[in-house]
Amino acid sequence: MTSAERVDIIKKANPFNNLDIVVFCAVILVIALSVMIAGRAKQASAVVITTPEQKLTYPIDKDREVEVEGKLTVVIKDGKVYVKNAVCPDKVCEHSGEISRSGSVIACLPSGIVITVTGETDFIEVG
Amino acid sequence: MSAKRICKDAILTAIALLAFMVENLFPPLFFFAPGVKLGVSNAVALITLIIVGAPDAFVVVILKCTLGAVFAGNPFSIVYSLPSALISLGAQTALYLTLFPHLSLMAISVTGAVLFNTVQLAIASIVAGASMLPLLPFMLIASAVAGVAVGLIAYLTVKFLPRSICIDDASERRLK
Repeated sequence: MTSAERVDIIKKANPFNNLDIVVFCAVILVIALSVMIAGRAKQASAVVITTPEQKLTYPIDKDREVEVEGKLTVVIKDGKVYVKNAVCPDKVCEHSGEISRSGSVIACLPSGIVITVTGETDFIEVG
Repeated sequence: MSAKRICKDAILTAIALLAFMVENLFPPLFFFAPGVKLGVSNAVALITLIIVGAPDAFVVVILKCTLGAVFAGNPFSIVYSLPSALISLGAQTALYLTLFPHLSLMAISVTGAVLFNTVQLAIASIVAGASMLPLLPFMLIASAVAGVAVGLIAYLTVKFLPRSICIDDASERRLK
């Protein structure tokens, strides 16, 4: 089939077709699977901050503010964790908001810093 | 390679880059999935694949990722964007060339979006040295929605763009 014929099909035929249902079902299945895997979170107990240089662990039930290598500040307050004063351009980590459940993650990709809430028997291995 | 084709590639690259830059100015669309955007520039890649050709789509995507990383002021982000974009486009190209009339642009785009964000999360996990698997469900849901939207944008664009722009009339003249 030439590309011109394909263009004509797009211009004339229905936007959806018969095989689409397979793809959409597959996507829904993958989402369900990922929810099942990621949803096995346990009681939150610790905050782990992983940077390219070091790994810091703090209890989540004690309020504190940690400045990480001059790049951002991690605030632990009332069992919730969030990031402020990030120096990266996109501020995705600040927009991630508060996390508190075991297994949740805030990532600051430009500086390679990841903040994870972990539990006693969490499936995540950090390190 | 005709001058017209080079011209089309250049214009589409510029549009993709513009879409990418403008989208960066807006706050994240999916508040629950950090880093997931609508990805209008992916629609441009898909449109390039349809109206120019597969090699051209790869050229547009590589240029968009490289220049986009530089213009966005964060050259390191290319480590995340380029491999995911290439894998995503590779899958979309394969689906488009083999299954297309049976598989709609929306389904192709969803596949691409899901792959893009999964690969990006995997790279981020490797770079950061910490598993980001818990984010995957949110990323997948957001990318499925974004994928359908992007596919729809590509579909409507090709549908309403004049036919003379959508096809290489030189090749059609040869056929006649």
